[in-house]
Amino acid sequence: MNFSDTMQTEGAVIAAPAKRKKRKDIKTKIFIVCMLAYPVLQFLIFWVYVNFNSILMAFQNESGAFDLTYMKEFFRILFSSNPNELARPSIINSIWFFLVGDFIGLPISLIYSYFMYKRVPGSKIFRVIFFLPSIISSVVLTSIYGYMLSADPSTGVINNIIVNVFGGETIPFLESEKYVLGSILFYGLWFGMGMNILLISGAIARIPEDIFEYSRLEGVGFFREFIVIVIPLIFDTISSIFIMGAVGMFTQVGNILLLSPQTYMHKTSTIGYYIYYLVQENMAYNQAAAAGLIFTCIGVPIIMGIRAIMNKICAGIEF
Amino acid sequence: MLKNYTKSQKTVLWIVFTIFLIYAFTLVYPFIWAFINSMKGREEYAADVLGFPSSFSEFGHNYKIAYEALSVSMGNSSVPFTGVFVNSLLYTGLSTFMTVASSAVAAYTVAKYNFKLKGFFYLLAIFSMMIPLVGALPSQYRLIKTVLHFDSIPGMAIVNSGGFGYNFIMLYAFFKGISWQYAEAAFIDGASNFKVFTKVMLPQAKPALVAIFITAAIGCWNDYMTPLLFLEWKTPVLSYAVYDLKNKVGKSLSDGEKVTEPIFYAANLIATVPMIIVFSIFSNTIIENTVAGGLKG
Repeated sequence: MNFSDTMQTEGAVIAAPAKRKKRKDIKTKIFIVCMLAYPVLQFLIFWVYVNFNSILMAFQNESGAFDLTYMKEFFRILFSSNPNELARPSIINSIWFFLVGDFIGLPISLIYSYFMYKRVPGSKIFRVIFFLPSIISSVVLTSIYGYMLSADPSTGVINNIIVNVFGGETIPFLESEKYVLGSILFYGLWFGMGMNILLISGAIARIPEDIFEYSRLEGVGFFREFIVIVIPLIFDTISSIFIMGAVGMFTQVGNILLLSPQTYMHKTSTIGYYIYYLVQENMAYNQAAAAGLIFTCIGVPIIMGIRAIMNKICAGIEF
Repeated sequence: MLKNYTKSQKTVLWIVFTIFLIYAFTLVYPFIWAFINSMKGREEYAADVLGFPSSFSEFGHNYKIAYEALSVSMGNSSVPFTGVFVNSLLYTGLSTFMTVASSAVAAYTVAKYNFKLKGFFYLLAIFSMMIPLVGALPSQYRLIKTVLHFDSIPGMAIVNSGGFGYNFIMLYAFFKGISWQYAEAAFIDGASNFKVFTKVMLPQAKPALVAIFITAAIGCWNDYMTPLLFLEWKTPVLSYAVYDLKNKVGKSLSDGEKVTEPIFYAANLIATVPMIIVFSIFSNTIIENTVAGGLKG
């Protein structure tokens, strides 16, 4: 074997692992591409294309030509004083849903979750029961709730109690302009806390036990422990739930569609329902796209702003 | 049970217990009330909405009519309850399988492999969940109904199979928590990337996958909006049938039987039973894994 032969053999020995590594890297790259191909393709078609096309539709007429009619029409409706137009009440009602959900529902969920963690007697059973409305179809829940609230005391259990037990007058919860929005807000609040309680309970359970033990030894009471320890340490979860609630302000459809009588839609409609109404009831696709685009332009900075504020508040919290 | 607490803390906990008890009662009572009334005749129901039925003679009759009332008809076409139920099973099974599979492969890859767009994909999932793109419905409606003609159960399963949503976030957290050492050991033994995913990682994520599968299945079973918009009466599912049933109360079915409120409650309870059974079996898995997974923005 001459000198060059020796070099070739050693080169092959050195090159072999490098080649193997390169082959492995290529295989890994192929694997990553294959794994992500379907989710990315699905996302591109049903999220990117759908939203991009939605923007285009906002500036088109039915035949697909560039047209600003629907944009102008939406602004006209928005500033119209006609009480039957749904756009303006939809914005106001959506804000109500956000305020009730995030400023009443979320604090109640926090308090409930904290005491659940503190092992209130029966907390395991309560956790299951509180979660129950989340697994039952809202069509079924709203149907039963609607009948329970019926203004007719012979069919509505609440009014039956009001009339026969308390001797009061019937309250048309879902059958009057005065109460319908409040009744739907109450429904969302009452039956919608289960999931939040579960997520917050999880966040509290992840706080190291030592911290609670230390606070117990220091004689810290429930209130102080809740405010000073629990809230700051689970603030990232609170922040996420708060943001999701704010997002819901723009997408909430279900409870309105299922609970509100058609005659009171001008009192109960939300942004999400308004878009649904334009698409499903009126088949006004381009008008709905124009309205949606404007609402998105309003919504994105609001949500981003809320997220930035929340991130600033919980920055630096580590445990 | 409360031995570690002071006297005043115990008092607070018992007050909270009472509040919890009342709240729990208000959540459960509507179903108890509906069940009690589903056993009454129309006259007895109108005479006393709070009382128990005087006899159980109407029980069988109401549930039999409720079963028939949950069929969906439009013109000459009619889908019986069994067809509606099978549609629900297919819609739920296919959509859930596809969305969980899609989320699992995406979440695993992003959580465990280093590549250029890794951070981008994670942000994409957060972004798509947090940003309210309100006006997508008309475009989605047009794409599904007139361009792709996906308004069928397999079509909607593809539409529902997004891999970068809530399930992605939850599964990402789970996969992130699994040690990579198991994978490295398998690689040394000559396992491929795919084998490591299916034989090493997926079995470890099984509890999380089961919890997410069940939660997604419940969501799909209860989803009425997608079927209402895209499947309609042509391929009715149970949630659509219950929604449709609201319009039948007070009216007569083809066999002359009138859909009364007690029958309406019976139908609602029939529609609820499958999910109650699933939840009874998997409640611990769902709750424990949702609690363990967490949600961070």
